[in-house]
Amino acid sequence: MIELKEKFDRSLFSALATTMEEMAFQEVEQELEDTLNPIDSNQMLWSKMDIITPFKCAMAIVVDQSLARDLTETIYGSIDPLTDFQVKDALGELLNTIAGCFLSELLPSDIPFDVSLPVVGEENLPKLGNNELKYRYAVNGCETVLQFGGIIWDELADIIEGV
Amino acid sequence: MKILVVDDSTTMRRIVSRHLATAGYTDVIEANNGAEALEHVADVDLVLLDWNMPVMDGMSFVKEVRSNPALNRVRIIMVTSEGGKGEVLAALKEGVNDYVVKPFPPQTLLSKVKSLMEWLPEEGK
Repeated sequence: MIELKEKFDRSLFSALATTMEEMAFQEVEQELEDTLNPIDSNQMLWSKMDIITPFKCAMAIVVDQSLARDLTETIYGSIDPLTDFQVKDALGELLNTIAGCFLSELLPSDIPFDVSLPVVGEENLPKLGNNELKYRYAVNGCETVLQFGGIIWDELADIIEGV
Repeated sequence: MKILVVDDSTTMRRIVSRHLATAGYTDVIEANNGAEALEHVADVDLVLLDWNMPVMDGMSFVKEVRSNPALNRVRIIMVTSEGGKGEVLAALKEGVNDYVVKPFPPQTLLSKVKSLMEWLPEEGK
C-alpha cells in the first residue's frame, strides 16, 4: 500500500508539473510545510470533476483567483481584458488535462479510464467525499491545491496490480 | 488549407489555434462540439478533435464522418487527455488518422498536422 501511495503521489506531481509547463509555462514545486499562505476562501476558485472508471472518486484543483487570472493570461497570450468565463474555462481545462495525464501515469496502459466534465466554482470547495486527500504545491510562488475524495485504496490497488 | 478545431473548451480552442497560427495555418474554423462540427466538416481538410465533449463527443463525430464516403479525404487528429492504449486503438479503428495527448508541446501537434497535410490528395485527383 505504501508503494501505491508513492506511485499516486509521483504520478500526481508529474501530471501537474507537465501540464503547468506545457500549457501555462509555469514551474511547480512541492510545497514545504508552512511556506505559503493558505488560499483565502473569499478569493478561491476551484474546479472539480469525477473519475468514473476504472475507480470512482472526486478530484479538484483549488487556486487563488489572481493565480487563475495569471495562468489564463499566459495561456491566452492576449492583451485583451480577460472575462470571468475565460478564467473559469481555463481552470476547468487545466484540471481536465491534469486528470488525464495523472491517470495515464498511474494506471497500466491497457486500462481505459473515463472522467466527467469539469465544473468550476468560487469560494469554499464542496466536500468531495470520504477520506479527503489534499496535496499542496507552489505554482509561480502561489499555493495550488489538488484534492481527492472517495478513493477506496484497496480497490485502486487491485486495479493497478491487475487482480 | 482549411482546419476545423473542435473542443468544448474555449481555452483549448485558443491554444490549438495559436499553435496553428505560428505555423502559418490561419484558415481555421472553431466548433464547440461534434454536432456543431458536422455543419462545417465538408468544408475543411483537417479536423483537430477533442474526445470528451457534451452534445456529441469525439468518437461519435468520427463514426458519423467515416460513415460518409464523401468525407473520406478529411483527415482527423484526436486531441485528448485520455492517453490509455485502449482509447488510442479505438480511435484509430474508427478512422482517426493520428492522435495527440494533452498536454503537448506545440511542435508535437504541428509536426502531426504537417505530416497529415502533406498526404492530402491534390484538388481534382
